[in-house]
Amino acid sequence: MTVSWRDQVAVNPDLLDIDNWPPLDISALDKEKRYGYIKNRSIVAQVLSGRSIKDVSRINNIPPGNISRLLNRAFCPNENGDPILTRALIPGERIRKSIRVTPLPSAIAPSGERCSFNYILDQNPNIRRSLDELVSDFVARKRTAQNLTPKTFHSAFLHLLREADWPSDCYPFTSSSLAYESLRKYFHEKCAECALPKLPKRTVSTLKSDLRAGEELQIDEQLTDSESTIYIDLNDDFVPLRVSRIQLILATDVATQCYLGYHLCISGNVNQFDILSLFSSLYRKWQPMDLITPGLKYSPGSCFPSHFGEPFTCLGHNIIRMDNAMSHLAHTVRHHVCHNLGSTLSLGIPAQPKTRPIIEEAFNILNKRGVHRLPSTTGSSVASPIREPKKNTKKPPVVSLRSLEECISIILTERNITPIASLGGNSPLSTFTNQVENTPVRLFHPYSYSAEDPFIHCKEVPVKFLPEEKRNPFVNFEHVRYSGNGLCEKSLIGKKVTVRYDTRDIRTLHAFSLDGDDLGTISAPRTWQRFKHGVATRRLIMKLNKNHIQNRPDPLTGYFIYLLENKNKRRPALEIARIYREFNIKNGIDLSIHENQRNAEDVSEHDIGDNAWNFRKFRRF
Amino acid sequence: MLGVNGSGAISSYGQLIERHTPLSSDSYLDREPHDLATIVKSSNYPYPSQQSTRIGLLKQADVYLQKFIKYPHLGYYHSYAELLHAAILESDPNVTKFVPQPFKFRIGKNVYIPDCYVVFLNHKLIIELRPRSEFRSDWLSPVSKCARKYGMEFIVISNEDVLKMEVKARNWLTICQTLIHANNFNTDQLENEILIDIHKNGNYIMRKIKDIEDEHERYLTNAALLKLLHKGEITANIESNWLSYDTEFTV
Repeated sequence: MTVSWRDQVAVNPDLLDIDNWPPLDISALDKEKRYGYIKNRSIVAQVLSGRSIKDVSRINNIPPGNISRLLNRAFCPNENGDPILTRALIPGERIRKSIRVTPLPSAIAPSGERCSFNYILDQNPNIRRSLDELVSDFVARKRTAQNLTPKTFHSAFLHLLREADWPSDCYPFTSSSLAYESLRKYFHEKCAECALPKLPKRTVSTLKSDLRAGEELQIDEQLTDSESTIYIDLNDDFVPLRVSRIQLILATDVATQCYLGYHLCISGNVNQFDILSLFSSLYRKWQPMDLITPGLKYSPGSCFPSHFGEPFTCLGHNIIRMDNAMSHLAHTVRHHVCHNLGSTLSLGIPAQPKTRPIIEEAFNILNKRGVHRLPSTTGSSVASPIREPKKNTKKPPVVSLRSLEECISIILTERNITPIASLGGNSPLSTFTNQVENTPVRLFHPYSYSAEDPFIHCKEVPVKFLPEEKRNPFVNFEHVRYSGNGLCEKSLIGKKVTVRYDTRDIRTLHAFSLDGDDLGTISAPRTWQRFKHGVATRRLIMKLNKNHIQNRPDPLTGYFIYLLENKNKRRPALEIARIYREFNIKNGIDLSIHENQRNAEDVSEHDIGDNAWNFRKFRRF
Repeated sequence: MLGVNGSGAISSYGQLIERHTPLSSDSYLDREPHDLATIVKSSNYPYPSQQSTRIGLLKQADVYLQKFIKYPHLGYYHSYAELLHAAILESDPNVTKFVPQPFKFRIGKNVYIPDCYVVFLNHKLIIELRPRSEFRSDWLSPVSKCARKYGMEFIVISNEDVLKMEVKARNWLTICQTLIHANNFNTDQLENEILIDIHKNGNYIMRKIKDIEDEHERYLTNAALLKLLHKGEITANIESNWLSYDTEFTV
């Protein structure tokens, strides 16, 4: 039901003043239309000011019916239901979409062809849908899409009409162009519509720009193709080895763009323990590295915020954003973030690096300023023009792994004290410390959380006893038997106990009964006691044993030997570097391994056999 | 009215759901649905319990993991709006509990898991969060009827309305995280002291906490203040303002 202009004005009295109508730039109109528009506007203004239509018609010498028609046209609703108003005063302006009312022209009843094409599409929604699908597939470059042109599109339209048994004596077959021009215009409009960027379906991160320090933390890792060198002393011969790629995991505060910490992962892939190591470093007081590379030094004042101690070492973040890599999905990581830290873990949507722009920018800076300036560190692609040439690959790189680490540390800390325009000319570090001190950020209780918490885990394991073996009761943990005096209780056999362990060193565990009684320390066999090793290394060794790749009585040394036998390969060389640090081998220690000894428990550090490998003084790399 | 509590006032969460008319009052409920919906029996049937999130969905969707007070287990929230909605639920003392991804409905051959189950002023609500409140029209009637059979109301809330309350939700997210971490500490005495202070001075400004020198006491006082806010015994203007040292807490 159409509401009359008088009722509309009664409901909305603002419309009585024509100055409240939508403005129109009359200089954009044609001269002929401009005259008509000004006259129409004047007539409408006079009627709305309170004069009767009769008086206005007499003054302007226009029939009253024309004035009523003009007012009805101005207050006619558009698609949204709002009155058209100003635009309707332009003479000859089409205010509504033209719709054909008369039947289509045919051989029997010829007529004009205006709006006939739209009439066909409105009456046959299937044809419209088919045409739209053709265009959307073409624009989206789908595998099954045709390469459309206006001509082929027109042919498709005629084909659809024939399939729908369209009468051959009806439009468009009565037209000489067969509706080609209408199709061509429709095709171009549809292509433009499909090519428009779509609005995002969901909000994936906050739209607020006034985040504060501690609100969001972004963590991401980047693989760096860093061809560097380590040296090992093999029978008094220093042998350099190439190590290929390392992974850098970086944590950044979103609001202040301050780098809070990093972890360098000397292995092919990041695992859950590397992520936990990063969390541990965030809550431990940062100390600068002892720089040994000549020419490198820290800028004055450059550091990570944890260098200042509390409260920066007990700051809780609200949301921790990571991507959906498998290492981030690990239960240990989820447990640590959600239960120990009390933060929200956001795993993000795949292939959306722009949801973590701060961290991606950080890697860009690192690559440009430092890592990719070193020779043989591009890794961009096999055909990259700045990739290391083949002639250089025969010799080990000039840059050592240690130098690369120092370089990364210096660049990241220096970036923290570099003023940034988006922070009002302040440095990220000063902004971060300022906001932490002046806003009520979430802090942990001093005694409720420590930097070691990410590594301390608990697990329930059953106590076993095999009478035929005549050995002490034991528990199985990570494929190895652990035993201790605390387990030698009859009441515990067959029951479960809780073992608490440090994932970085599982030579010993601490056992508790389910009631909470302390059962003391339980240890792995002596074959596993030689070097400090973690859960990841144990699992790697057991995997090799399972696949019969190595199976020596002394598993840790056997693993080392296996890596040395493959030392010229990139990955074993990298692994040597990693376990060297994990085993915590210090300079000057004489490590002799007797390969022929069956029982590794009898191996003495001073035994030197015929086939012994003699590792002395591993040079620091 | 759904959002009105015993004293006649409309709570903040009540205002949010009142904007979205419960579908139980819609006329198409009188029509027979094409498919009937049933609740798939799980271990806790017929009580709501969080349905597990497949690893594939965990990797593909924008999932957030968070523990709250009214849902003390690790909750999986499949979008940013769902996370904010859960934080808004924590802000209203009239909400007793909630459970994310509470049931699995079977509608014909399809399986549908709603976003949240909320107990609000003794009403049991099943909440679905959608952009522009657009929900499948052929599922509305069967799900609503099935919910009513179990004494629940099915409501669709738009993501846009929840995102408008983002500042409030983020403040409450911080408050919940602080309270969960301070769960093991007894702060009854400190809460009484704060209430006495507010009655005496008319308000309590957060800056007073910053002036406490002892770290342990500062931490506990902060926790006590936020616990009172969570219980609804004091209020603060954190609807559109971030929590800061200038925030005033009043009765």
